[in-house]
Amino acid sequence: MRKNYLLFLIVLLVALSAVYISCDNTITIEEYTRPDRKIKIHPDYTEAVIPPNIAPLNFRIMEDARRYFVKIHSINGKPITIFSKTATIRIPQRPWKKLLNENKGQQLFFDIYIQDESSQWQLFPTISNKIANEDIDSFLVYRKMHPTDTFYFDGPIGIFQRNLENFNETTIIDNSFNSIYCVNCHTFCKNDPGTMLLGVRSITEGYSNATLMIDDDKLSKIGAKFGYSSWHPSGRLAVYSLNHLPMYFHIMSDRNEVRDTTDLDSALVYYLVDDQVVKTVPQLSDKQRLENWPVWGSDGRYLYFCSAPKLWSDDTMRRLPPKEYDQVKYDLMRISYDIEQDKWGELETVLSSEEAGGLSIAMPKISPDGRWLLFCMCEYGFFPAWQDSSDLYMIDLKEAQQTGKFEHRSLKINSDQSESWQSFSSNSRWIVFSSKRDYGIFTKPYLSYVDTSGKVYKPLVLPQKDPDFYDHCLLTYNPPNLLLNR
Amino acid sequence: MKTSILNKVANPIRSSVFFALFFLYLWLKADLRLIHHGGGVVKNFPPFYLDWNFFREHLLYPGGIAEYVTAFLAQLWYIGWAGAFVATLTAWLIFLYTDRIFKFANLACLHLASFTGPIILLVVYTRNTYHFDTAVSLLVSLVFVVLYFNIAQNRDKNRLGIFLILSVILYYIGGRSYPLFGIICFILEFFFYRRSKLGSIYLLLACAVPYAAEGIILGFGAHDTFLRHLPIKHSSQPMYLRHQMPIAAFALYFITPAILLVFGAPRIKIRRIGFNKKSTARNFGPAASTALEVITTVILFGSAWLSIFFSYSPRSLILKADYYTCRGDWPRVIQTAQQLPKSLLMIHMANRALYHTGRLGYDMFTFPQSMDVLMLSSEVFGPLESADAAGVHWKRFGTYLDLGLLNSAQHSLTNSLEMYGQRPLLLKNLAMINMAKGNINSAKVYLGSLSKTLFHNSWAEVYLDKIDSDPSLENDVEIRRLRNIMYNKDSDFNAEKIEDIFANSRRNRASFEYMMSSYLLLQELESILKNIPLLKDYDYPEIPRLYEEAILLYMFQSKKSVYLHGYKVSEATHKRFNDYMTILTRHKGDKRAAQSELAKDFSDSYLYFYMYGSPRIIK
Repeated sequence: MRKNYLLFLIVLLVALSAVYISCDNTITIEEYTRPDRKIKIHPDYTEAVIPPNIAPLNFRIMEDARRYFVKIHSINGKPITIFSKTATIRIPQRPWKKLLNENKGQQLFFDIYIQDESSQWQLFPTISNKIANEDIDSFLVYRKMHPTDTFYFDGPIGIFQRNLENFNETTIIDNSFNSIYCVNCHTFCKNDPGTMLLGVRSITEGYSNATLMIDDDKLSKIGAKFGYSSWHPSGRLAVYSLNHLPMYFHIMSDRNEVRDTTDLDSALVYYLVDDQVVKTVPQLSDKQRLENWPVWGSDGRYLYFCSAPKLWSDDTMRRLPPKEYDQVKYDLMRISYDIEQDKWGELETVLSSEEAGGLSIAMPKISPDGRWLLFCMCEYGFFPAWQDSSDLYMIDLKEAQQTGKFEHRSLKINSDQSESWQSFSSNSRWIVFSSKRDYGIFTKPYLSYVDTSGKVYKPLVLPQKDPDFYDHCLLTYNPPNLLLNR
Repeated sequence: MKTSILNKVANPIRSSVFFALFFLYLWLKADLRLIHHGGGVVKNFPPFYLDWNFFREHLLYPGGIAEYVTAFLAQLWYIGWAGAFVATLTAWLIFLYTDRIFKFANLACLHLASFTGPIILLVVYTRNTYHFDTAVSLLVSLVFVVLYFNIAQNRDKNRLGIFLILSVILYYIGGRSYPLFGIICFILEFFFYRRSKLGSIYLLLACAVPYAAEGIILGFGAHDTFLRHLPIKHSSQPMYLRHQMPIAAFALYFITPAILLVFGAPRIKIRRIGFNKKSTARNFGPAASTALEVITTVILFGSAWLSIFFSYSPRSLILKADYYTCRGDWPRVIQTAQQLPKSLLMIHMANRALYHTGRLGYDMFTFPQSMDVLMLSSEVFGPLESADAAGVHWKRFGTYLDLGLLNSAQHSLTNSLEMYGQRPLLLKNLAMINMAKGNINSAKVYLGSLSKTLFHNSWAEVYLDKIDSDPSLENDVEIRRLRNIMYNKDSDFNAEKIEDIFANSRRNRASFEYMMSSYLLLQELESILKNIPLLKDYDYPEIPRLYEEAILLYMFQSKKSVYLHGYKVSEATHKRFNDYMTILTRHKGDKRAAQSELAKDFSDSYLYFYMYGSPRIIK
């Protein structure tokens, strides 16, 4: 009796499975109308250039309907079809990867059908994106934290590594490690995680403020607090800033970002890895100027950095902020360096604030191919991430070499919110930057394609498994850096 | 026979009565809603979101499931009776399983000791501290110990296998419950069941499994792994950020193994010296039995009462006042403040309540006052590391919102969010501020987060819908109100200059009253007189009593008459002023001699404050 019952159950299960398999989610829509209006999807994955190795761009259709049907297709390969009773469209990873791989350099189309309350299907104008030929580096590293106003972090804070080819995120270091309560800026050498600097702050005795250095995968602790840093392409030295950066807060309510900071005093110094010594030169530590944001040119012959005249004396530094805080404008400078002789050259102004229309220059980054210099400009000061006025600008260094003139241009991808913390992929074809365009003070990373002529294409927000993820994510992602491997 | 019946009945009755009273105490007196509220005091209350990702995150690490369930149950504290029920049920289960474990150890006589955990929890709840996670963690360990001994009974050969299977399940579900499970099993097996090898293996596994899984595989290292499994998270952070009452958490967590060890360890010694006398239960007569039960009951309820009595802390009152403040229950704020009238934070809340009930200009001197109290200036609290300063951010945001200092409120709220976690109250206020400022994208993120909470989701969804239909939110009354009083001048980066605040937000009655209060405190009588015409702008039917007293003082000192723009000083105030002066004259102008007599009837008057200042205020 019991055996019969078991047998019956097995047969039933097999039958149900067969029914389920036969009822797959392919449906045929024979009749539909074609509304003229464009359909909105969230996040806005439209008319962008997307990496061929990116994780599925899951999205939500911003339209109420009974049912949804999406067909994703290109020139080659089998289209992906998704039928859903909710507006959330989750794209299966394997077919997505295959489709993108087979169609590098081609357009990728999203045909979106919705069934309205009267069971009538509607097909909206096709959404298209272009699949780039060049891959993006597979990993993105960022710090996640609350947009906090304090240095005493108790909330979640950590450096995380996201695999861009899927949705896996792993923790590099966070404050669940008991001895650490803040992790700061991370700097890599040529997009390689094998050479890395990471600032750590702790009030536990024995830890305090320190910099962790990974060199050839060996971890060591440097008992000095590195500010904004840049590795020489050789990996033999790193330049970093020494800053005095107090935070203060704006009372004026029509200012979205409450926080602000001024670099009261600063200098650039450099750390020689083999000798384990810190050095400086007068050109980089002028008492009358504020030097910041160092970045090496791709050949290591020039160090680029930002510099502004110091508008206050040390006595007035007690008052926060100094009354000239919004008059500080940084110029973009560079200085030559001979690594073999450890010899620095003369200072050159690449772009002065005056030439830049009175804006202040910050966060310069140079593409690994040495062609593009990407930087921010904002109304004042050194920290563009907290200023709505901050936009991204670019200089063609190759052209500058030929003409002797550093011509800058604003990128078309800028929004009316702050853009900052930009960096390049190892193949120089992709940039990642932080923007407040969609989620206000909750900065998120955006990826943009840069073609060989320097044109930067519409960015896409870092895709997440849940397309609504950012709508309730109370963390900021700063600063994002692309990495070749984990 | 009668004794046996008495024993059988007395224990369940006693425990039922105990836990019924436990429930009523938590519901009606301790009020777990206060812990849920946090009030800038409780910092480790867990957030909970009805969200698949939130759930999935908890599945990814050992102990995540227990944390998820704990966080969910803790949300029920928002509803007084439900929270009390959950907390009581947990305490009751801890009692039952502890009792069962004592029986496994043949220590049934320790029945009373099984109440130790619940009594520690009484202390914890009375002091408004959150250690529910430790309670659940302990309960999970106890449940698995009982499971182990139930399954392993009469299965001598399979005991290790059973332990290992339960270990895997418990380590995944309970995480930090696992070492405690291992330790209790070790004590029972080693000392009570005389299986020293097996017991030692259990102890080894209790340490080795977390170390192997977290220390080696996840890379936390031995030090961090060990600390992660303690009942409270060890922290390198400043003291004010750490858990309150860590000793209670440790006591709760380790009390059961400690009791077992105390009774188990001597058995080894007895065994070694060859003393193996079987203890025999002594039979008492019915009278003695009844007396024993009565004594036991008295001890139990007495210790519960004592633990509550000695656990009383003023912080409960501050928490309660803050709870009422955030709900806008102003009369209750004043009522609560009167029970702790010299606390700086309390008076600050009372001042807000007086403003909201229209009594600030009348009754502010019923409490000791100073400028520090009025604006909660940071100087008085010192650096942010101090516990007081941490609570100040939470107290300040409401005052800043009243005064139209939206950015300052946002700053305080953001700091509070960092210190106290993602509390719905903080998210709500941050959403409102961002909506008022027109920073809709930020507001939507706060609302999105709120929409996934258990009890504030509908509020958030209403606003998300409003944003969809009217992105400017022009039609929302509260947003319009905030925009009207919003401070729009980037002055000296000093939110405590009340004159500047008022000058820039003349439409705001709160900033007017706070400015007048600051003039009273600074004894600037002329400034008060100068601003009397503004009373009309705010539809005052009369001059508030304290301003009247200031005017009379001014007239008395300057010997000048004053023009009051259609207002007049009331007869009652004139009479009060004359009475005051009469007493002073009777003492021939000797202020010190007149003080005690004046204090009787005039301690709440401005005249008294002007002459004698305020009593000392405690931080």
